[in-house]
Amino acid sequence: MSMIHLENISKLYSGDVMALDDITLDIESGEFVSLVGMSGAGKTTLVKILIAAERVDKGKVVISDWDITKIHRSDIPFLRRQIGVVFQDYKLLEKKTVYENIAFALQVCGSAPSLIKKLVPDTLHIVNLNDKKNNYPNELSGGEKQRVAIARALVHAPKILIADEPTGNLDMINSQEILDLFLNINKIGITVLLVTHNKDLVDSIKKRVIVLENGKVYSDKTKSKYSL
Amino acid sequence: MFLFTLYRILKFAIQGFWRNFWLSVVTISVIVLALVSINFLLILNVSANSAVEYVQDKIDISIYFKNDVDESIIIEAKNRIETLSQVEKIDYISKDRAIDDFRQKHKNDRFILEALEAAGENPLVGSLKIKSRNIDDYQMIMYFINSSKYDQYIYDKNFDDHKSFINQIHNISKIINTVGIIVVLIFVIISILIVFNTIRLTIYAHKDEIAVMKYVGASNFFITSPYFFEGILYSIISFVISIFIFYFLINSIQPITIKYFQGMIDIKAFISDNGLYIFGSEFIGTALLTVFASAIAIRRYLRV
Repeated sequence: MSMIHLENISKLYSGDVMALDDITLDIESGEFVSLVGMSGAGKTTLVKILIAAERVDKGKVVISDWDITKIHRSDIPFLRRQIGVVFQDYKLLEKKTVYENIAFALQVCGSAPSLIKKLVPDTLHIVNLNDKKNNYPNELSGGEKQRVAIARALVHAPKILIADEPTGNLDMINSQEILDLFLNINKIGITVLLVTHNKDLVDSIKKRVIVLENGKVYSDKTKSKYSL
Repeated sequence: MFLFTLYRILKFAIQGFWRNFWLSVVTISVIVLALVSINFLLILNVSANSAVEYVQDKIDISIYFKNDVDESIIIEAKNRIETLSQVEKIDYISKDRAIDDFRQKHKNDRFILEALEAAGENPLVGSLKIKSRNIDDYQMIMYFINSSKYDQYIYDKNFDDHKSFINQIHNISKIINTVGIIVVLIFVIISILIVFNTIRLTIYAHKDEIAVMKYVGASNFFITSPYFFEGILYSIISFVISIFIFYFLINSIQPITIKYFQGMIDIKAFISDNGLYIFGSEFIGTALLTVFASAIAIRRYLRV
C-alpha cells in the first residue's frame, strides 16, 4: 500500500520558476527513503506539498489513501497530526523545558493531561532523553535538540516522519546518532522521508534514494548511494 | 477534550496579556477613555433633555375672559379649543375657583385678604389654562384664539414664551452632541488601532509558538482563539474600570446637579432605570470592537 502517492505533480512559483515538474512517485508504508538533490532541486517544495503548506498546480497528492490535492484548510491540522516534521533549525521553544516542548504538541491539539503524562515520558524514552526532561533547549547540544524535535514529531504517533535537513547543523557523530534514531523509528513501522545534502549519511543507509534535479526525478533507486 | 482546549486557549490569552503588560495597560486606558467619554456624553444629553422637559412643563397659555362674559361662552370656547389637535390639556378656572385659589395662596397675608373683602364682589375673572402637545404648537393655538369669535370676549392673554430659552438649550445640546460624537469617534478609531497593534505585537511575540502549533497540527480555531480572547479580556477589564470611574463621577456630580437644577436632573435615577441597557450595549459594543480589531490583526499577520 502506498503511504505517499504523487501523480504527475507540478508546482510553478511566480516568476515562472518551475519548482516541481511532472513528478510521479510512490513511497510504500514502512519505507525509508532519502530525498537528495542540490539547492533549488525542489526538495523543500516537495516537503511543503506533503504537509499541505503548498498546493500543486497540477497532478494528484495522496497520503495514506487521503487525496490531499485540494485539501480544505480546516482539514490540514488533521493531516499534520499524521505527519511528523523535523527541521534543520529544530524549532524548539526556548522558554519551555524538553518535557514542555513535547507536551506542547499534544496540548495544542486538545489531548487530555492524563494522556500527555503517559505519552511524553514514553516518547522521551524512545529518543533517550529522559534524564534531560527538565532542561531548557539552551542547555542541550545540537544533537539533543534535534532529538527533542524528533520526540515532538513522534508524540502524535504519526504514519510518516519527514526530516528536512535534520543533520544540517550537526557534526558527523551527532548526525550518525540522529540517523540511527530515524532507522530505529522506521523499524517500528513509521515511514521515514529523509531530505538531506549529507552524502556520507545517505551512503551509509543503503536504502532507497530519490534524486531530484531541476524539479524532476533524476533517479530513483533502491539500496542506492547519493550520486548525481 | 473541548474543556481542555478552552482552558488552554484562555491560558494562552492571559499569558499574552501579561507578557505585553504595559502594552495591555495602554490598550485598556484608551478603551476606558472611549467608554468614559461616551458615558459623559450620555449624561450631558440626559441633563439637557431633562432641562428642556422641565422648562416645557412650565409653559402654558392663560386666557382671561371679561368680567361680564357668561360662563356658557367660556365653556363653549373651552370645548372648541379642546378640539384642536395641538392642545394636550385645557382647564377651566371659574371665577369661584379663582378666588378660592387666590385666598389659599395668600392665606397668610392679612392685608390682601382684607382688601379682597373690602372689594365686595369677586374681582377675579374666569379663565382657561391651555397646555400644548409641543412647544411649537403655542403659536398656532394663539393664532386660532386671536382669529376666533371668542377674541372679543377675552380681556387678556398671557403666554410666557420660553421658546428662545428652550432653543438655547437645544442648541447647546446639539453642539455637545456633535463635539461629543467626534471625540467618541476619535477614541473608537484610536482604540481599534491600538487593539489591532497590540494583537499584532502579541502575534509577533508568539511567532515561534504559532509556527510549532501549525506544524504539529493545532487547529486554526486553537491558534486564533487566544487572540480573540485577549481582545475580549481587554474589553472586560476596560469595561469594569470605566464603570468604576463612571460611578465615581456620578457620585461626585449628583449632589451638584440636584442642588443646581432643583432635583429636575436625577442622573442616578436615570442610570438605575436604564443602566442595564446602557452598560450592556457598551459591553457588547466594546467586545465587538476588540474582536473586530483582533480579527483584522489575525487575518493580516497570522496565516493559518
